[in-house]
Amino acid sequence: MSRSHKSIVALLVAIAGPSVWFAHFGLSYAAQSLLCASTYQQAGGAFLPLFVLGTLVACAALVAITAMGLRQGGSLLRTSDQTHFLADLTVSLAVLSAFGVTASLISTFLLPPCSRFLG
Amino acid sequence: MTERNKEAQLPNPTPRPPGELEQLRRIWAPPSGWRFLTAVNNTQIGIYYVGTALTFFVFAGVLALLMRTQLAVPDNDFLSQELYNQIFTMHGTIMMFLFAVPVVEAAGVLLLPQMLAARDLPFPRLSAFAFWAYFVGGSVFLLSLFFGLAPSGGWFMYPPLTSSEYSPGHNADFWLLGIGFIEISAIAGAIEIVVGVLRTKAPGMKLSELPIFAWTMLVFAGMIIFAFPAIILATMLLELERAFGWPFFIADKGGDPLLWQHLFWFFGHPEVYIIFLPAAGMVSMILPTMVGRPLVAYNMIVVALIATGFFSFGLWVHHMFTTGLPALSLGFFAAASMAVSLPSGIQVFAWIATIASGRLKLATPSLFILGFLFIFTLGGLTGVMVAMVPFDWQVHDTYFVVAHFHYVLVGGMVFPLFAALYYWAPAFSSRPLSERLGRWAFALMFIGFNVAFFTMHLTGLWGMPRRVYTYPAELGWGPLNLISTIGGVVLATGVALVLFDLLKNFRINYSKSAGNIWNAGTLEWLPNHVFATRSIPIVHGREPLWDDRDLPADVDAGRYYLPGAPTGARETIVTSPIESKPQYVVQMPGPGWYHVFAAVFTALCFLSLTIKLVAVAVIFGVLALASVILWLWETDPGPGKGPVDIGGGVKLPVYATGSMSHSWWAMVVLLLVASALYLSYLFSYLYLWTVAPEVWPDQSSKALPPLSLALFSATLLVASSTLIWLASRELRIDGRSLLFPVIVGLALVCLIGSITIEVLGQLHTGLRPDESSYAALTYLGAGLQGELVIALTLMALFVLGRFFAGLLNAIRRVTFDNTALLWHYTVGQGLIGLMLIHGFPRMVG
Repeated sequence: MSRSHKSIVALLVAIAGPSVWFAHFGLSYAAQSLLCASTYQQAGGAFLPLFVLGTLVACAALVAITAMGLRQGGSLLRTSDQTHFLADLTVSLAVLSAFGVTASLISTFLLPPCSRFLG
Repeated sequence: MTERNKEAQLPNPTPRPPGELEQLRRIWAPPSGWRFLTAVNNTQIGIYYVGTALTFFVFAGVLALLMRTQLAVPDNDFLSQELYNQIFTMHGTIMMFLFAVPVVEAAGVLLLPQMLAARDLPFPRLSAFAFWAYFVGGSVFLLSLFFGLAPSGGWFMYPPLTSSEYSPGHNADFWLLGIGFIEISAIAGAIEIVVGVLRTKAPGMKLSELPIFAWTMLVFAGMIIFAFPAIILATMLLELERAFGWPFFIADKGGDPLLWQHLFWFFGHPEVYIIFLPAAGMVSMILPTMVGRPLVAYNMIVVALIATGFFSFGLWVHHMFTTGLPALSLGFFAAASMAVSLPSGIQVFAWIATIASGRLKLATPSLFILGFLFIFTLGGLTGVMVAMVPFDWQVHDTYFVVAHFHYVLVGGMVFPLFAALYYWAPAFSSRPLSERLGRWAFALMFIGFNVAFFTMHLTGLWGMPRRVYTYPAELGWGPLNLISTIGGVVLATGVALVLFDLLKNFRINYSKSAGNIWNAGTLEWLPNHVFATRSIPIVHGREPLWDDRDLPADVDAGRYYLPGAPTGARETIVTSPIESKPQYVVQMPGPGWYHVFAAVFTALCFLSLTIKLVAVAVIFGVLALASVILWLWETDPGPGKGPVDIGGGVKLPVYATGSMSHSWWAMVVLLLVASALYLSYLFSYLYLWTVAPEVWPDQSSKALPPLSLALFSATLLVASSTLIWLASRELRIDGRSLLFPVIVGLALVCLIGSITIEVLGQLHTGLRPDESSYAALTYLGAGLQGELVIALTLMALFVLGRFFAGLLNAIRRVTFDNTALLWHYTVGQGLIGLMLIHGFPRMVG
C-alpha cells in the first residue's frame, strides 16, 4: 500500500465510530419506514428484533474500533505522535458514537414501531 | 544556540541571490486596472468574496428592518402582503445562501493559505470561479426583488405552495435555479478547501498541529459535500415538476410534498452547523491570542467538530415533528438531537476553560466572543427545548422558533464573524479597525439583538405565528412587536458602525499590513506579501510564533523552504496529509479569463432557463463549456521543470500522479459529491414507494422493460469499465500507442450504448415521466446517469485531444487518471441504478 493510501486508511479509521453511528441511524430509520409502509404494515412487528440485532452489531463494531484505537495509542513509543493523536480521535469519537447509538434504544422500547401520534 | 548556528540549521542560507525577491513579486503581481477581474490569488479573491458576502448581509438586514417596521404596530399597511412574503423569503434566502455559507467559505479562501503557510490554495482558478459564479448568480437573484420576480414561498420553499399550481410565474424558478447555481459554487469552494487543508499544509505541520480553524473548514467542507447534493436534487425535482409536470410532489400521482421537506432539511439542518462550525473555529483561534494561552483541550475540540459534523446529519426530521411521521421516527431524531448537544458542550466548556487559564484582554474581538458565548448558549438551550417533541408541537411555526434560530445563527455565526473582522483586519489592512468604534458597535449589537429577539420568545409563546404580514390589535402582540422593532433598529445601528469603521480604516495592503498587533501565535501573522510568505516555514507546534520568536524574521529573509520561484511560475509545496512531509511542488496557474467567462456564461445559462429561454440557455451552456475546456487545457503542465531544489538539500518533483497528486484528491471529493447526489435519489425513490406503492408496476406489468435489456445494458457498462482499465494499462506501457485512443473510443461507445438502451427500453413500454411518481423517478435515474455520461463524453474527447496534441503520455497522465476515476464511478452508479429500476419493482410487485 502506498503512503497516500495508508494516510487515507488512517483518516477513515479515525472517523469509523461516527460512520457506524450514521449507518445504524440511517438503516434503523430506513428499516422502520420500509417495514411500516402501507403494504407491509403487518411486518412492523419485525422491526424490534431487527433493530436490537442491528444495535448489537453497531455496539460490537464500536467496541472493536475503541479496542483498535487503544492498541494504536498503546504502541505510542514505537510510532509517531500522529498515531497517538489519531488513536485519541478514534477512541473519543467511538465513545461519543456509542452514546448516539444507545440513545436511540430508549424510544424503540417505549414506542410502537408504526403508529402515529397525529392523523 | 548562537544566531549563526541557528541560521546554519535552516534550509536556505542568506543573503538570498539578487533578483529572487523581484522574480517572486513579478510572478505574483496582482493584475491591475480592469484586469482585476482575472485575479486568482487567494488574498484578492478572498477579500472580494468577504466584501460581496457582507454586501448581501447588509441588503438582507435592510429587508429585516422593513419587516420589523411593518410589524411594529398592529394592522399596519406599510407593506402589502405579497411584498412582505417576498421580503421574508428573500431575507432568509439571502442570509442563508448568499451570506452565511459564502462568508465562511470566503474566510477559508482568505485565511487558510496564510494559516497553512501555502502560497495559495491548490486550485486558484476554481476559487475564483466559485466567487464569480456566486457574485453573478447572487446579484441576479437579489435584483429579482426589484422586478417583482422574487420568490415568496419562504426560504425553505415548501411545495405544494411553490408548485406551478399555487406559485405560477417565474418567481419560484428564480429561487430554484438561482440557489441551485450558487450551491454549485459552494461545492467548488468545498473541494478546494478539502484539498487545500490536507495537502498544502506547511512542512512539518502535522494533523495534530493544524490550526483549529483549518479543522473546522475541513469539517465544513465535508459537510457541504454530503449535505448540498440533497438540496441540489430537491431543486431539480421541483423544477422538473414545475417545468414538465413530473409529479414528485403531487399526491394524486404518487408524489408527496413531504419528500421536499426530507431533502430540504437533510441539507438544511447540517447547514446550521455548516455555518456554525467555521465560526466556532474562529473563536478557537481568537481566544488563545486574547488570553495569551494555548487552547485548552485541542484534541477534544477536534473530536467535537468531527462528531458535530456527523451527528448533524441525524437531525433533519426535528424540523418535521408536526408532519405526522410515525412516533418512533420522531424518537430517533429526538435522540440524535440530544446527542449533538454533547460535542457542542465540549467546545463551550473548552472555551470557558481557555478563558479561565489566562487573563482575557478585553479588546473588541473578545467582546464579540463573550457576546457569542452568551447568545449562542441561550440559543442552544432553546434548541434542547424544541428537540423535545411535545414542546415543539406547541411552538412550531411561532415566533419562539424565530427567536431560537436567530439566537443560534446570529449568536453562533454573526458575532464570531464580527470578532474575526476586528481580529484579522490588521493582517490585511495597513491599519487596524478602531477599538472605540468596535466597542460601541458591540454594545449596540448585543443590546439591540437581545431586545429584538429575546422578546420574540414571549411573542411566540403568546401564540404569534411566523410569516404573518400583520395582526389585529386585540391579540395583544403590539407592545412586544414594538420592542422587537426598537431592538432591531439598535442592532442595525451597531452593524452600521462596523461598516463605517471598515470604510474608514480598512485599507488593503498586500505587503505592509498593520501586522501582528495581538501577539498571536499562528502562521497567518507571519509577514505576508502578494506571494504570501517569502519562504515556507517548517512548523513544529500549534503556536509556532510563540515557540520561535525569530520565525517571522527568518521566514521573511527567505531562510526556509522555497524562497524563490524555481519553476519560474506560481507554485507551492504539496505535503503528505498526516505527517506533512514535502512531496512535490505544484505549479499553479496565474490570472486568466476563461474561469471568469465560465462563471458568467453558466450564470446566464441558468438565468435563461429560469425565464424559459431554452435556446438561449443552450447557447450560453455551450459557451460556458467551451470556456471550461479552454481553462482546463492550460492545466496539467507536466513534469518538465522538475525536480527543483526548495532548500536544505530537498529536491522535489513538480508533478505527481495517482493518489499522491492533489488533483486525484479533488476528483475523489467530486465523486463523493456525485455519490451523495445519487444516494439522495435512492432515498427519494424508496421514500415515494413507501408513500404510494400502488403506482409501482407489478411483475407482470408491461411498464417494465424486459430483464434482458437491463442485462445487456449492464454488460455494456462492465465492458466500458474494463476497456478504460485496459486503456490505462496501455498508456502506462506505451504512452504514444495508437491503441489507446481506439480503446477509449470503444469504452465511450459502450457507455453511451448502455444509457441509450436503458432510455429506449423505458420509452418502448409507453411509460412517460409525467404519469406518476414511479415514472418520473425512473426517468430521473436515467437522467442522473445521462449527466455523467455526457460529462464523460466531453472528458474522453478532451483526453483524446490532449493525447493527439502530445500533452498526454505515460508520465503526464493526470487528465486521463481523473477521467478513469469518474468512469469507474459512473459504471458503479449505473449498475446500482439498473438493479434499482429493474429489480426493485419485480421484488416488491
